[in-house]
Amino acid sequence: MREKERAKKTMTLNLSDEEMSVVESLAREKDLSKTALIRQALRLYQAVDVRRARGDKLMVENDETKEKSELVLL
Amino acid sequence: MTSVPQPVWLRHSDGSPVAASLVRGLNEQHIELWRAHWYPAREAALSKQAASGQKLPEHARWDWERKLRKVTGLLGFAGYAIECDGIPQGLMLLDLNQTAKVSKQKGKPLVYVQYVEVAPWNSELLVKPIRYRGVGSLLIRAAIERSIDEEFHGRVGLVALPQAEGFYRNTIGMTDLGPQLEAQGLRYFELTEAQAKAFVAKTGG
Repeated sequence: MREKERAKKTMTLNLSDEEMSVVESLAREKDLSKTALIRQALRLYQAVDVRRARGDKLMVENDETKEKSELVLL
Repeated sequence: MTSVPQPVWLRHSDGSPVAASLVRGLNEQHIELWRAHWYPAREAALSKQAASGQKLPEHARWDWERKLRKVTGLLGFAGYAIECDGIPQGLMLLDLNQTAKVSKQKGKPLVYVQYVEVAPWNSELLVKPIRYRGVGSLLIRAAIERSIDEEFHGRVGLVALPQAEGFYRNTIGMTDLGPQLEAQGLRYFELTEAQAKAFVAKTGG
């Protein structure tokens, strides 16, 4: 679990206008740079993927109504 | 990138300073050291307390081996230790996938302190006098620095055990959002960017 040396590697990301627009909008909303946003997205994706691989379902709950539903991912 | 200046400084119970180091990332060696040093020290202290009829602290049975193994390889978790005398004096596990609840930063990412604990010989709930002071504050400072590194602007959140509420409210300066149903009624505390800056300035930022 020890983190590797925190040296960063650079990659080029090819996104459509629509995808870039979402990245920019989310980055603004979350107060993050685009790099930090992608890093955060990767953490979340891995967390979800590991749980699904274990057989867990991804559920979402409405904060007000407490209604729960399964988030279906392909 | 910011960082906590090294070495970090703890205090003996007489107030004299002692150099320690902040370690980012925990490994098998930390689990071994926890098992070899923390576990027997804690069991001895708890047996003494139980024999004298004292109430056991809420975190009395935390199993760091289980906690760390559960998140091995996950990018969303980060472990930290304060080390001195070649032994962890405090351990902390951060969750980087959580978001803020305080209204002015609601929905923005923060560093969530999932677990933080000082070694049994540094806990006044277990032994008196303790060996080193200042471990908890240094770990929270490390959580703030991690939050800044991740562009979360120092935002930190945690659920506090009852005996630690005063520490987070008064020493760290966090906002108390009250008891949380999903945390068995324990109180949730959050640090805003301004509060984080104030704490860093107070602790030599």
